[in-house]
Amino acid sequence: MDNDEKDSIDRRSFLQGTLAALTLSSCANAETKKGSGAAFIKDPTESQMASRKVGRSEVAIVRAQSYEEDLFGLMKASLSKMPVPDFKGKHVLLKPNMVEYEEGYPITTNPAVIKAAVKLFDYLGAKKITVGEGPGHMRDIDMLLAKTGIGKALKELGLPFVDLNLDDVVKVPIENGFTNLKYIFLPKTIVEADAVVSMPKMKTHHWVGVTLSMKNLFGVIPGRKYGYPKNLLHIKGIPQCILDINRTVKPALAIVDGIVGMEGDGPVHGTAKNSQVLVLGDDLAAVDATCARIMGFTPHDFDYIRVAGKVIGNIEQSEIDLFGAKIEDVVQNFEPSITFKDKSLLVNADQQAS
Amino acid sequence: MRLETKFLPMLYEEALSRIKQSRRKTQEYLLANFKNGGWGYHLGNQPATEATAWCAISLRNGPSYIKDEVNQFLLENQNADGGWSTGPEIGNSDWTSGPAILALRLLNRSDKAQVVDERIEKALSKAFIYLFDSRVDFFGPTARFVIFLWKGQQGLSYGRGWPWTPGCFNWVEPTSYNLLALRVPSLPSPGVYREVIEHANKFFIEHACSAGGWNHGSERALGVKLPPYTVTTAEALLVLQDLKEHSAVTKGLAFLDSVSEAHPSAMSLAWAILARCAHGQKPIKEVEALLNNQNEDGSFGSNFMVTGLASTALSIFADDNPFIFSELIN
Repeated sequence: MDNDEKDSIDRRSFLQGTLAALTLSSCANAETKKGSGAAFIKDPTESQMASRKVGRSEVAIVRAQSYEEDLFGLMKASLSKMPVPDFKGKHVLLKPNMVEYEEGYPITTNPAVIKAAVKLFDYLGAKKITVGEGPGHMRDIDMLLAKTGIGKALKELGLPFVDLNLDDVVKVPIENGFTNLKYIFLPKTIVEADAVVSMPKMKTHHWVGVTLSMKNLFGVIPGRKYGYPKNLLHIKGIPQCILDINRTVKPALAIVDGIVGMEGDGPVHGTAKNSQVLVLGDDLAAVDATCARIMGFTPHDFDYIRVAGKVIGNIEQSEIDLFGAKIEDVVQNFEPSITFKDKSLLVNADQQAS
Repeated sequence: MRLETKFLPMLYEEALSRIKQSRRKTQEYLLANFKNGGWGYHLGNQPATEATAWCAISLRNGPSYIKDEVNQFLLENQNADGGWSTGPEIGNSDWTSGPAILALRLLNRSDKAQVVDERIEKALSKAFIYLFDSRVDFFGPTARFVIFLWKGQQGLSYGRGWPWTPGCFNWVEPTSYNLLALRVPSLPSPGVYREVIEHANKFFIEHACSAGGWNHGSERALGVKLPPYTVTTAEALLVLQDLKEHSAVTKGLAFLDSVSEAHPSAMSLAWAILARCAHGQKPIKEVEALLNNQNEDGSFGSNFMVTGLASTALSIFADDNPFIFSELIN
């Protein structure tokens, strides 16, 4: 259609078109129409809140100027001052963020942090340490391992890597979930590991505001069943799925790589933020709430962290004991994502997928 | 169709000899790891539909017992709706139906004739119905009727691909796999699928990245343009051979060419070889890099599916190339 034709649309055609558009909108297939309505979470029920952590939480903020520092030494010293879970004799699965690779963007957990974590769990007496990830956008795991430097680091350490996207899968029930999924398939390695450690990059995220230790566990969902991206879970609602995954997997610890984080258009196309911290703790809600504060936000800015405070753990500062650096000494003002500034984008988006 | 290999920088005989040697090693490796009628993704895993499909395709001219046992594996694990799940008894049918159908079609054709085994024919008939029904449609029956009244038949010819799991959005990779399963030559009752293929082609054109090439299927997110990836670009190009002149295809090929020296993995290299050969290009660097990527044991890494895919990509120089089609229906 050229411009002349466009200009000549008459009133009858306009009304016809409007009527058709309204009809189409109301007839679109439920799951594929615009704005799935899953962007925001309903208030949790009593039964959902019943499994929340009881008591106070401990979070360590470790200052690290760069990846060249002795990160193992810094983390060891920090954890020695606070209670940590017992990892002796356990199979520990480290889950870094390797969602995608793009030259020049700090998207993935730095290999230096993974190496330090391996030393840490060895020091803490772990029987076996495995690194595993199920990247959300790219199937080519060998390329991701090569480009991110994580493959080289694991080779140097002689450690196995498990592509969680392609592992054997186990059907696991979701109890009192926030999605309407009754069960989810999880990688056998995740189900059989004694302790899952979430190792995210500290980043903003255009769909959920920030991606930290809880969101990072999206990467345990197997692509062989749910795809790349894990689209069914996006349709069910990313915030809701974050809660269901965390309440099902029950991670033992989080180590957040915030030495160089990402602000703005995260989780892939944002800008590097030299925030110079590692954040550790066994209550992932508390860890993420602390990271949000370090990034210059409040945990209540993000729906899934707000609800995690009711069903997973502590997010109020008054309920969290901090070890190491103080928040006011490391706080940064991360440039927020576009949806943080304009939440109507979430409601009107075609899909929450990339 | 046998491909011209003289473009390889090595002497023709030497190139062919290296490819044959490579494939022999891979065949031994895959045969040694064939268990319970198929292959898992990794050593010690249960057989997986996709891994089994690609390994079997790479061995399509190998020992006959592989064909028989893989046929049996796929027949036994076909779901009632005609599709396959990622592995035996792992939920509903999903995107792995495409590779399963492709394997059944390529393993069971004889001299490009249509499938002759009655059980396979029956399974494929059900599978094609699954492919037909599992495509994404953004509009329900009422909306389609309104579109028909408003715009006529032409209005119903919009881009439609396949989802990873039924009921979700369409994406580049599942659409590539399913479309490839339909497009390899000798499709039974081809006319029935003309529209399905046309709609899938439209899906690819609509979802191409503005810079050329394809990523997982989002050209932009929240207004921000997203870049293409190597694997997904190659997969899309492989199935768009009838649109050689389309700007999305030429831009996609240009992107693939621009990253030809940046492919570090066997998966990227294998898809790039298949795609570039399908468009009459000469993937010299990719072939050499892939051969150099092979391990002593014959594998191309720990993932059997990638080894099967890599061996399939090399097979088109030494055996036949079943992935060539120039018409809408072949």
